[in-house]
Amino acid sequence: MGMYLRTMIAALLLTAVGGGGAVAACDPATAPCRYEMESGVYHAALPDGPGPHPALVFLHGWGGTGAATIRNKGLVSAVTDRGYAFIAPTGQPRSGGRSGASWNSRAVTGDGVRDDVFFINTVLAHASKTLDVDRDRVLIGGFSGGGMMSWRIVCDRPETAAAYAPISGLMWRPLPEVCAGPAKLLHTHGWADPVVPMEGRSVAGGRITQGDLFVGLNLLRDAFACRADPPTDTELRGGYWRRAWTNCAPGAHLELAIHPGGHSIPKGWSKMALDWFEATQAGAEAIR
Amino acid sequence: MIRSLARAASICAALAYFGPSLAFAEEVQDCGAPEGESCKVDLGEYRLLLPGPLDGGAKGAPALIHLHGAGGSGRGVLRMGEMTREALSRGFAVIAPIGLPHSATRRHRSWNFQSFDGRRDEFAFISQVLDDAADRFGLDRDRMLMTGFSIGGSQTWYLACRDHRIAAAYAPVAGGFWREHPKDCDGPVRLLHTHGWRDTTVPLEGRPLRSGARVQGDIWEGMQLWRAENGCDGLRADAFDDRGQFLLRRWTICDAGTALEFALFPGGHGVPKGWAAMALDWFEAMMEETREIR
Repeated sequence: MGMYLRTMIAALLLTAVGGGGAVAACDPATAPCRYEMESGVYHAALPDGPGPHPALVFLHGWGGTGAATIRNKGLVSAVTDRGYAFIAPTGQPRSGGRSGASWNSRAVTGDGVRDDVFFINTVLAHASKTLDVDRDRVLIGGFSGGGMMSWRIVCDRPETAAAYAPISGLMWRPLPEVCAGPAKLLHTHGWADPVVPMEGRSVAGGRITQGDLFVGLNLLRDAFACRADPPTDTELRGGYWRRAWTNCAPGAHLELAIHPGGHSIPKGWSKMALDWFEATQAGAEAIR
Repeated sequence: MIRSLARAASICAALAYFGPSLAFAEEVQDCGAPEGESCKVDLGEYRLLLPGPLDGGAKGAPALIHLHGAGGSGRGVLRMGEMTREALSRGFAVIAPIGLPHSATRRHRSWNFQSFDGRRDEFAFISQVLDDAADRFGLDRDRMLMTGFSIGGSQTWYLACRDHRIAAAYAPVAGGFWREHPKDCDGPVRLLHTHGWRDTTVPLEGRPLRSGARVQGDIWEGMQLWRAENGCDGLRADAFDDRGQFLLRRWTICDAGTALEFALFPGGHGVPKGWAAMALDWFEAMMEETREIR
C-alpha cells in the first residue's frame, strides 16, 4: 500500500515536471523508469521497501546512455538488492552525428554545452524529491568517461555526494592546480587498461590528453588534507591491490583499488564499492 | 698506486687466460671472496662471487652488480642465496660494491647520490669497481646488469641517470629518485623497476625522512622521466603481464635499444622471491637480441 502511494505521488510529481504518459505509468520499484527534466534525462530503479533510499549514481562511458546503463541487469540488481536506488543519468549527445552520449568532464563552457557538474546536482535534487533518495547517502560512480566525470565532480564540487567511486577514468591534462576540498573516493583501475591507461593517453587526434592517475591522486591528497603521501593501509583483497589514505581531513578518505585486468568494470566491483561506502559512512564524521 | 697494481694484476690475469701455461689453471680469486680481503679500488672496496675458475667459467662472464640497502654490506649481498644461486648458475659473476658508513650516524653503510659535499662520488667509485672487476677477473664489461635494493635501488636510478653507459642495463628494487627529482637524465636506459605494493619503508609515493630534511620521490613520477629519456611514444605502457606474483607493465614503442618495465609485487620492503630469475631472464633476452643485431 505504501509503495503504491509513493508511486502515485511520484507519478503525479513527474507529470507536473512534464513527463509523458509512459513515465506516469512507470513504477521504479518494479522496473526501471525514465525521468525527464529541463536539463536532461536519467533512468532509475528502486530497491524493495520504503525509503529514504541510499543511492548509487552511475555515469556511463563515452557513447553510452542512462537507458543502456539501466539495462545492465547484473550491475543494477546487485545494487538494488542491497537496498540502494540505482540512478543512471544520460550525458549530452555526442557530436558528429554519433549515437550515444558523453560527459562534459573537461568542464568546457560555451553555447549549448551543459555544465554536467550542475546537471548531476539537479538529478540528485530531483531524485531526492521524486524517488525518496536520501540526499546524504549518495555514492557517485562511473566507468571510463563516467569515471572522468566523477573525478570532475569530486574535484570541483566535492559536497555533491557522500562519496565517489570512479572506474577506469581519471582527470584530463592539464590537471587543475587544486581541487576544492575533502571527500571520500575509491578509485578502481585495471593495471592493463589500454583505453584509459593509468599514465593517460592522447585522444581525438592528439587534441586532448588524459591525465596521470598518480598525479591525480596526489592532487586529491592535497585537497583531502592528507598528512602524508604514502598510504596508511595497503592490502591485497578479493583480487584487488588496495591502498588507502585515512590520515586526511576529518571524514575524508582516499583509496585506490587496482585489478590485473583491462578497461572494464571488474568482477565484484559493486560489492567492493558498496562495502567500502558503508564502511566509510559508518561512524564517519560528517564533512558536509 | 692501487690502480696501477690492479692493472698489473689484470695483465697477469690476462697472461693466465691466454698464455699456454697450465700453471695458472687452479688460480683462485685473490680478493673479494666472502672470507678474506675485499678487493680495493681508489675510492673503496667490493666483494664478488665468480661463476667458475678464472680461466674457466669466470672468463668473459657477464655480471650482476648488487648495491646493498642501508646498513647492508658486501658480505651480506653475497649471502643473498636466491639471487647468487640464480646468477652463478647462469654463469654470471655477482659483484657487491661496499657503501661508506653514513656521514651523520657513522653507522649504517649507505650510498651518497644527491649532493657530494665532499663525500664520495659514487658514480666514480662504481665505475672503478666495474672496470677493476673486468680487468682483474676477466669479466665482460659490456654485459653488466646493475641492481640494488632500497637506497641501493635509488643509487641504481641515479647511476643510470648520470651516465647510462656505466652498465648494460638496470634492475633496481624498492628505491627510486629522491626529491627534487632530476629534471633530465643522460640518454636512454634499459631498466626494469621492481617495487612492493605494501612497502612502507620506501612507499611507491615516497616518504619524508628526518622531518622532511630529505624526501623520497614518487616512483610513478620517476618512470615519466625514463619514458621521456627512452623516447617512448605516448604515455601509456603497451604491454602487460601477470606473471606469478608480479604485475608487469612495459613500454615498448620507444627508441630502438631501450627497454622499460615496471614490476609490482604484493609484498613489502624486500627483494621478492622470483625477482632474480625475472631480472636475469629480462637481461639475458636483451643481451641475446643485442648480439643478433650485431
